[in-house]
Amino acid sequence: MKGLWLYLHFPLLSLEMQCTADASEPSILLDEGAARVLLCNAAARTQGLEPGMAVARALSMVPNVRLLPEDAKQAEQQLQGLALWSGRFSARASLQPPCGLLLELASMLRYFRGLDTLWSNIQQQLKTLELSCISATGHTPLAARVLALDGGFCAADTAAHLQRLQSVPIDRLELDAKLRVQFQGLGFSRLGDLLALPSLELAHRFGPGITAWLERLTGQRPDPPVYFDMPAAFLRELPLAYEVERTEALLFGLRRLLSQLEGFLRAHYWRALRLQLELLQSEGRQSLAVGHASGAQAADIWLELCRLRLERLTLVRPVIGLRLEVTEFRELESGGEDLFSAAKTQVVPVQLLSRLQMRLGEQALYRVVPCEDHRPELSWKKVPLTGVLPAQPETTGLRPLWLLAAPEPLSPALVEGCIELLSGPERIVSGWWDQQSVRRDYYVGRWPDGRRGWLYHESAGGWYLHGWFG
Amino acid sequence: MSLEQLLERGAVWRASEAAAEPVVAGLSCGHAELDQLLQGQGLQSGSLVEVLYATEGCGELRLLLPLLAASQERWVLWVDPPHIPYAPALKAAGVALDRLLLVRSNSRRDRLWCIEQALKSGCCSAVLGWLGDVSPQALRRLQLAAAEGDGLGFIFRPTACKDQASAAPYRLLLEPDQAPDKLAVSVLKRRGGWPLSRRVLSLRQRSPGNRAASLAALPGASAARVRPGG
Repeated sequence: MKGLWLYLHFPLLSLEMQCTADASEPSILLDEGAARVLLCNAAARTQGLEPGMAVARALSMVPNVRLLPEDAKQAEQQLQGLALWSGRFSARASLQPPCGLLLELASMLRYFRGLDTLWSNIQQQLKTLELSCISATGHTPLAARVLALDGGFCAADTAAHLQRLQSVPIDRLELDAKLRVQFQGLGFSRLGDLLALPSLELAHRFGPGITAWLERLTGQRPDPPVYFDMPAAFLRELPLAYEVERTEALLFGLRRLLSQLEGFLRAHYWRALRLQLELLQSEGRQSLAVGHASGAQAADIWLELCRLRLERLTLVRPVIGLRLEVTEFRELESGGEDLFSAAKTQVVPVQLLSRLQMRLGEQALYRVVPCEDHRPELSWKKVPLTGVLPAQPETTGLRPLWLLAAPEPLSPALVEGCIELLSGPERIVSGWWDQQSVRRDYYVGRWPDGRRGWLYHESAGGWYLHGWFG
Repeated sequence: MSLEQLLERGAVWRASEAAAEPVVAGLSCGHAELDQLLQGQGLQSGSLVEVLYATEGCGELRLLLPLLAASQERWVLWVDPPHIPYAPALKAAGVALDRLLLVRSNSRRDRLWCIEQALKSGCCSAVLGWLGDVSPQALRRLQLAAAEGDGLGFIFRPTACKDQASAAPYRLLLEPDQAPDKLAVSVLKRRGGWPLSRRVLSLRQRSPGNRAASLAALPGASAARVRPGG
């Protein structure tokens, strides 16, 4: 099988991963000694900042620039997060530190119905990540990498890749600096110039290293990458670069975690039923559980549910990090979700119900059923949303559609003078075995304005309104 | 501005042109007399129906019962009803209780949000919501949500709101009538037609046997007054 690889190059990864809010703010990443600028984002670049600049100079040019420290350990974590995210596109991903990700595509083309669909799918997902990225395909892993570093490319067949490789400038190649100078001295400027030379000659003059590199590039020498092992459990942490005091501001970082979750779930063919989200604070943490009744994969669905849950939450202290763990998984049953079916306009009821429950609390939603008791207030009960309803007894007698939560006393004068009794009495005597004994005569009455109510006369005396024929 | 200019801008609607518009068959309310008043012999799906009444007990639920009973597959959501919807009576009227969902919200904001979400989702055939005084903007949002989900939204409001602006394509003002299974309806607004003054409709249903649904089982107004014997 012909190979096809995709290389994703995230040039500003360690900078952008720390900007968890507004990308339009100028930000720069500092080196270890905090003396020089390592990376700067587009906003900083337009204001004249560039990598390699002294920090003092950068600050004098743009006083309000946001300074972010470099964190090598964090950078590795971020790359792993991206590998999880990519699980939706390819089962085989390889980390290419410091800021690259290699995906094997050839085996996925059939599933995604061709490169075009897959490519546009990837580009769309990259956009939602809000990370700068240059992507390129390649017939070998190295070709994909070289083309990504040279600005990006997309093609399906080997010939097109070889053609494109010819025009890559030599100084863009990740070669030994000494070699590069040598090549330039010989007047080679493009990769095509090197490829045109006989490899024996090349090896003789420049050492075997360069020919091996070229063979890996063109595919004459196998070059299997080290694949990333998809973990069996999902537990991710995302430190925030600054303290967050409002829950809405957490959503940006949360979206990234959830898109990683979606990739992870798709790679495993799982759906998640319950997430545990922890808001890490300088002292202690606040944790919340978010559930979906039938289980879901999509980041959008989870984000919506988390948002509803967060809206009800008051932050005790500013949040400095997020931690997301999936506490309940289930296998995705086949046919449950199709990547290519057009987006359904109808939300499945469970989704609506989960959403309502998240915002209003689980007790706020229920169904009602009749049950076996002669006392009107006890002849109905609340039942949960899911599941089959219990057997329902047949109704006897005429019953109103509205029942008052508590019977309302009526003055005898009103009943005698104004209310016309249309039917009754229906005597209900029940409940002598428990504490709520009733002995009542029920009537349907017509109020002067024409409304109909359900009222009763207590055997101990007194009239009460118990319902309306709405 | 002359009348012709107004006509050109589409600001004036001519009743004589209404007949030219294609009529989409509506959802029958289950009451023949009411259906006849509506374009397409029923309510157009994807619209908000504002039901105005003074207090419970005038027939506001009986008016909707045939529609509710017809929805056996999709959900019907009741958001913050003023009293307990009494399950035995609903069951007797043929309402599918396993698809009837009650929602209790804490605030008006949550209530509006709930109704909007349910209407938008498209998985509810009807959403019933009890609202007091709400802004015209809120009603407009609900109408848009209903159009998006292609369901029916019934918004119950007090009679006092009848002079407020409303984006609902249907506005019905209900008043109780002395006869046992009659209801006085004034159509304040309807799709493809002008307002109609108060008229008395029969709430008797087409399918007999729903004792709780219609008060047909009651002795009529002419019957002798019953007095407790004792």
